[in-house]
Amino acid sequence: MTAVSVRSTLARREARRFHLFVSPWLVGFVLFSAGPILAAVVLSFMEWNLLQSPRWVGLANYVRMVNDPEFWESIENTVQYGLGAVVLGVSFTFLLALLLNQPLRFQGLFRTVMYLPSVVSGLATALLWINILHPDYGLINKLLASVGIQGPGWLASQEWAIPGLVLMSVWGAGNTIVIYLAGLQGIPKTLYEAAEIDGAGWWRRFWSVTVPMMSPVIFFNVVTGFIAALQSYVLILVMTEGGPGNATMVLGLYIYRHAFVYFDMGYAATLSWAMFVLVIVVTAIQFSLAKRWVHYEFK
Amino acid sequence: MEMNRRQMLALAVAAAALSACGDSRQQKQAAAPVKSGAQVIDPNRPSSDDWPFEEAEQLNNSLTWPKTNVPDPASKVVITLGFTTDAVTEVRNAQFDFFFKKRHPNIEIKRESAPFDQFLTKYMAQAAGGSLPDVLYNHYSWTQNLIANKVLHPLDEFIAKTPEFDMDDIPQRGLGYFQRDGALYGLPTDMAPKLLFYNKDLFDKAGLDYPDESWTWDKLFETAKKMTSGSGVEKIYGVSPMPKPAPDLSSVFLMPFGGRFLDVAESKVMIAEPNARDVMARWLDLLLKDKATPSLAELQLLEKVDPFKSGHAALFINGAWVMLELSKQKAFKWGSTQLPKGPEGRTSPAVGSALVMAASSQNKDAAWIYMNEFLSASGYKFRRIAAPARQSAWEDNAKALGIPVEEADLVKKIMAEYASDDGVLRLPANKKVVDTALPIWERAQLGKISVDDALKEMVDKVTPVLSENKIA
Repeated sequence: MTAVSVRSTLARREARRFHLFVSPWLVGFVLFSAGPILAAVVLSFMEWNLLQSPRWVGLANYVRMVNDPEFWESIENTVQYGLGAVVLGVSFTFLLALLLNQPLRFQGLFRTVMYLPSVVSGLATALLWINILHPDYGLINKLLASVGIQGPGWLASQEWAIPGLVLMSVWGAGNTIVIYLAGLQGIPKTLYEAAEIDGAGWWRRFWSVTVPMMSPVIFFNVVTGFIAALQSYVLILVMTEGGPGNATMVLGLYIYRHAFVYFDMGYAATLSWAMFVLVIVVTAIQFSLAKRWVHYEFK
Repeated sequence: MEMNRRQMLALAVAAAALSACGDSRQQKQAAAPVKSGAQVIDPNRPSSDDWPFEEAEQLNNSLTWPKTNVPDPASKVVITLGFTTDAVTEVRNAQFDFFFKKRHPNIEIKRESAPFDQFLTKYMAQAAGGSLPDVLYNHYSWTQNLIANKVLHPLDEFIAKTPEFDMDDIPQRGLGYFQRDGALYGLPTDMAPKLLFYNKDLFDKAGLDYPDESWTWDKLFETAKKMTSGSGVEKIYGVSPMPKPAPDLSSVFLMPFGGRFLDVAESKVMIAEPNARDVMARWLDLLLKDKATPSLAELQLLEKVDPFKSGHAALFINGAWVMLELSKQKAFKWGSTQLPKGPEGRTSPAVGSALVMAASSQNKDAAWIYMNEFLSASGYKFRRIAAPARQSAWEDNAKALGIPVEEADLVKKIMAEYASDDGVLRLPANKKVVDTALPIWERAQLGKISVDDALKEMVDKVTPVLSENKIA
């Protein structure tokens, strides 16, 4: 048997195993993701209340969406929430990761404690934050009051409900911290040593070594964080149901309401495509801006 | 081929974007159903501390079970029941099924249970798949939509074949939710009016007389202001809750003044008309000026602990079904009376849920035999329902559940004299009507817009929604 034929037998075997191992995911994706995605395209041109056969309505759902003020209101709320959650989440968790990366005693304990909120159930998180954000009895307003500041109405206020939800969104950011920690530990020590030899202080080392080396990780967290924030609705449903006065009616919640409260499946499918477009547009903008600030070691 | 960091990042982001229309892990975690009271019920001897088997057996044997001319199946059939119940009631229902099967050995029962807030979604999806249970729980606000879409089977033919099924024992004025074109599609599992509850301890402390049948809404406003006191955790509210867009807004708050949220046909918004407008304005003043009813911010925390039930409200407007919970608590003494009178008299909604039969059922006779017994006076007494639709079951059930008999008598009087479905939204758009109007009213409650602007905006935004109420 020649060396070439042995290689080709091995290659075929490897290919077979590859297909065998990847097939469960592929079957699952086609049945449970690709199928519904394609069905949603067709549904968006139909009227369907689940109880009658779907009826073709052409572009009526899209026309309705464009003329629906609550849809635009939900887009505005979604973008506000997404921006707030990402800016605060990414920067705050980065600072936490820097602290947790310091060689301190009980480092492992601190890291565990910071990760704990990520494993708390969503409902418990929602109930906890309803109390933390309560205008009269909440922890945040109590702290503000102790320094003479009258806290806002948070979830009971139209202006402060989104900022309140943004604060809550940082709570479960343990996964982001883990990703940051992995990135921080991957920065070669030699770079810091070289910077020190050049006389760089801690700020210069942070700004000229840590941040550029971490920029791909920050970018990853920004992009995935935005996608997650744009889809968020479950905790908002539990905490505010979109109120007060539709102030927290985000697009995900608006879709949920049309699909599973009004059973207006055609319009809900149309709104879902609007969400997809929103995610793609926001992600594309982020990629185009990334060229200006994300530094890659190897190009 | 090895990928560099940029390519790996791009791949990771693309994968994340692909999943954009799905749930994130965090959302899946949050959406996971909370298992409250999940339990295993022994089908051969269903029992619990609340519902001992021996007591159930004794009660079952003491009751007379009604007959029907609908014949029992000649061979085994299986009927599926879709109910929403809590873990405690589930045991009682299992006991009912146990004894029912002894009376009807050819009828097997497959019982499904879903939490109330997931129930409609689950069964709408099953309806789409053509697999509805034979007998289904129905909230009063859902039934007309299901009738309009021909999902339900009318029950009149079965009632006609069952002379013992005493329809006069069920308040006829509360059946409108389940009727269309002269046919009846649902039979109530429970039905009750709304009442004015009061905290006797707070009234005693304030030295004021308890509310009674002579009260007018003016008297309620005046007393609510007097009863309001304290602040923060010590705050006592005069009355809770205040009116908001809801299916029974007209019947509880507006009709005594000659106003309505929507007209009878649910085709026109009437809330901005003077009679209704004045009522809404008075309540808004009670909230914003007198602070005698909880604000949105205050309700936010109190939502999980109702202000009245926690002893923080003097007056409470709610359904008679809360009497069971109030009877069990010992923190304060309470009483109830009829809702106050207005210039146009006294009104109260009669609301409840029902059992319906799916049009797709293959075992309608067996399904009826089950419904007949479940909804008979004996069925109500066996299940110890706190607010039975059958009026003959009130007294026995009240005694068994520890509800004062005089309170049960009050409910029976209201049901007999005036409680009705008039003014309670029920047509297909009712949920959308409420969801459209509520955020506008919340802005008024926050003091962002005036009552007139809020009501005008409600008219403008709710009117287009009402086209969905047109049933062919």
